[in-house]
Amino acid sequence: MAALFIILVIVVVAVLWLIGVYNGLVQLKMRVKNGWAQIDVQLKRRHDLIPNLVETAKGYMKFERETLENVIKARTQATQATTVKDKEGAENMLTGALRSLFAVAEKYPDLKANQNMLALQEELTSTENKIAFARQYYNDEVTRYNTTVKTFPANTVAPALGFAPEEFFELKDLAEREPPKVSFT
Amino acid sequence: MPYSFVEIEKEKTWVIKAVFVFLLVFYFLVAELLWIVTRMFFSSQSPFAGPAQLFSPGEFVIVFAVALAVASLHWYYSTRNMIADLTNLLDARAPDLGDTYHKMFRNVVDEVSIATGGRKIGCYVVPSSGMNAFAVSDLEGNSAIGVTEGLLSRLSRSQLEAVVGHEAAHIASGDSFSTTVICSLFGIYGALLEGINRITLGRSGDSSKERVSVGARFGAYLLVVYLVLLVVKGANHLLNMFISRQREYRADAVAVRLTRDPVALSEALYLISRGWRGVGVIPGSLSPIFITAPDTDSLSESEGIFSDLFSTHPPFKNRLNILLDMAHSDLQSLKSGIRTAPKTVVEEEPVELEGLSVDARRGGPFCPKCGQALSEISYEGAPAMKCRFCGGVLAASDVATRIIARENYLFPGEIRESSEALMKSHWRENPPNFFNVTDKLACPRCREAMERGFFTYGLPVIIDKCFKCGNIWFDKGELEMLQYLIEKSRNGEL
Repeated sequence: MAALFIILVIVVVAVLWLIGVYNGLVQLKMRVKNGWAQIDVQLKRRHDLIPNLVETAKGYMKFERETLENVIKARTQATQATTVKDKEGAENMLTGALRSLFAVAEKYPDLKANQNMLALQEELTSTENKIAFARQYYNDEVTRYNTTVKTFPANTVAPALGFAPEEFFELKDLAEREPPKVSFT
Repeated sequence: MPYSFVEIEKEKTWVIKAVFVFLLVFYFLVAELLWIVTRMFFSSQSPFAGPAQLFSPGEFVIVFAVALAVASLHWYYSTRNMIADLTNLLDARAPDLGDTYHKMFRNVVDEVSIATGGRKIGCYVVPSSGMNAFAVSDLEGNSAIGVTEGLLSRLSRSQLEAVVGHEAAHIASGDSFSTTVICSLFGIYGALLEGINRITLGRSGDSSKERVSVGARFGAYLLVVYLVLLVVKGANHLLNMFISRQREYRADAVAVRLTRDPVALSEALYLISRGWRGVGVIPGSLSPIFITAPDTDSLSESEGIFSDLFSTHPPFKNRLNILLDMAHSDLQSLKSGIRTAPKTVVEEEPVELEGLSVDARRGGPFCPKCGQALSEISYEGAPAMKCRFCGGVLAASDVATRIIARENYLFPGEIRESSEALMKSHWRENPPNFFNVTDKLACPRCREAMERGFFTYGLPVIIDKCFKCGNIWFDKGELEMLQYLIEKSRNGEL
C-alpha cells in the first residue's frame, strides 16, 4: 500500500515537472517565432524599397543595365525564398547586388546628390539596421531556446515532446567590405 | 531583456503604491502641522500643554481624511496625461518627417525598438540647442523618447543610436515609469517654481526697481503659491533620494547590449558632458527623466554617500570608464577618435518632384519682394522655401529655430564680414523704429501683413514675421548672418 502511494507521488511529480518543462519550452519557442516574424516584416520592407531605388538610379545609370538587372533578379529570388536557410542565401545575394550598385553609384555625383536618392539611402540604411536588430533579437532568443533544449534536464524529454533546436539566421552586413581575394596562381 | 513583462508590471504596482503612500504621509504631516499651528493660534492654551491636548484621535481621523482626499486629487490630476503634460512643459513636438534629421531620429527609434523585441515607442524633439535626451512611460504602457535639436545635429547616427538605446533601456527595464510618475507629481511644480524665480529674480542685469515692480504685480497671491511650491519641491528632493544612481549604469549596460556598440555610447556621453545640456530650457527638477542632469552641479560629479543619496545621475567619469573598459579602450583614444562631421559650405538642396524642379509650379507661395514663385529647398536638412531670384528664404518659426540650433554650415567670408560690421554698427544706441514701418511685406502663405523686428533682441538681424501663420521671411544672407552670429555667441566669442 505504502509502495503504491510512493509510486503515485513520483508519477504525479514527474507529470508536473513534464508540464513545467513543456510550458517553458513553448514560451521560449513562441519568442523565437515572434523574433522571426520581426525579421520577415523587415525583409519585406527591404524588398519593397528596391523597385523605387532601381527606378531612381535608372535615369542616371544608363550604361549599368547589368548591375540593375542583378539587383532585380536577386530581389525576386529573395521574395520567393521560404525556409530560414533559403532566405539566408537569397538575402546575402541581394546584399551583394546592392553593394555593387552603391559602388557603381559612386561614379555618378548627380545621382548621389539627388534628394530622392538621399531619402532612399536613409530608408535603406534604416531598414538594414532594423534587419540587423531583428536578427540580433532572433538569434538571442534562439540561443536561449537552444540552450534550454540541449541542457540537462530538459534535453531528456525535449526531443520526445517535439522540440528540436532552431537554426540561427546569419546575414552579411551591407556596409561590410568583401574580404580581399587572394590567388596564388 | 533583464525583466519580463510580468516583472515590470509587478514593479509598476509597487512603485504606484510606494509613491502614493509617500504622498499620503507627506500631506498628512503638512495638514497635521497646519492644524496644530492653527489651534495654538486660536486657543489660549500654552503651546507646551503637552501632547495629550494636541493629539486627539478624532482630530487625527479628520486630518487623515483631508490628507487622503488631497493626496488622491493630486495623484489623479498629475497622472492623467503624464506624457502629454511633461512634453508640453518641455515644448517637445512630434518629429517633422520632412526634415532629414527628424526623419533619421524617427528611424533610429524604430530600429532600437526592434532590438527591444518590438514595443512601440513614440518620439519627440525639444527645440533647444542644448544636448540632452529623455524617456517617459505612463500607466497605460505608452512610452516615448525625446531628444533636443542640439543633440540631433551634433551626434553621428551611431552615437544617436546609442543614446536612444540608453533611453529605450530605461523604458524596457521599467524604471522610466517611476521617474515619470515622480516628475509628474512633483517635478512639474518644481519647474513652475524655477520659472517664477527666473522672472522675479532674473540674473540678466535687471535693476532692483524692476524686480520690485514685478514682485508687486504678483503680490501676496504669488507668495502663497511660492510657499506651497517650495514645500512640494522639497518633497521632490526627498523622492529623488529613492532614485538610485545605479539605474543609469544599468541603462548604459543594457544600451550596449542592444546596440553592441560601447564606443558610440561613450563618445555620445563624452560629447554631452562637454556640451551645453539645456539648463534654463530644461527645468532641473525634471532631471530624473533625462540622460544627464541639465544643471551641472558639483553634486552629480562627486562620489560618496551624500551625493549617492541626493543626486540622480552618477559622475560621467565613472560611466565613461565602465563603457571604455567594455570597449577595451581609454579616454585618450576616445578623445582622438571622435569624428565630428565636417562643416560644409552653405548649400541648399533643391527638392525635386518627379524629376521636375518645383520652380515650375505656378500656384504656390510667391516671393514677397519680387513676386517670383518660391521653390522648395532643404536648408541644413530642414524644409524651407527660397526665392531663386532675390535669394530670400521663407521658413516657419519652428523650422527657423531648428536651423539655428544646427551647426553644420561653414559661412563664406562675405557673410562673416557683413555680420561683424553689423555688430559694430550703432544699432544699440540708434535702434530702428519698428512702429512706423510703411513697406510691410505680405506673407507669402496667408497674405497677411508681416511685422518687422529683430529676430532676437541680442542681435541686430532684422526679419519679417507673420503673426497669423508664424512664417518668417529672411532677406538674402540674413539667415546665414543670424546663424553665424548665434553660433559665435554660443561659443562665447561675441
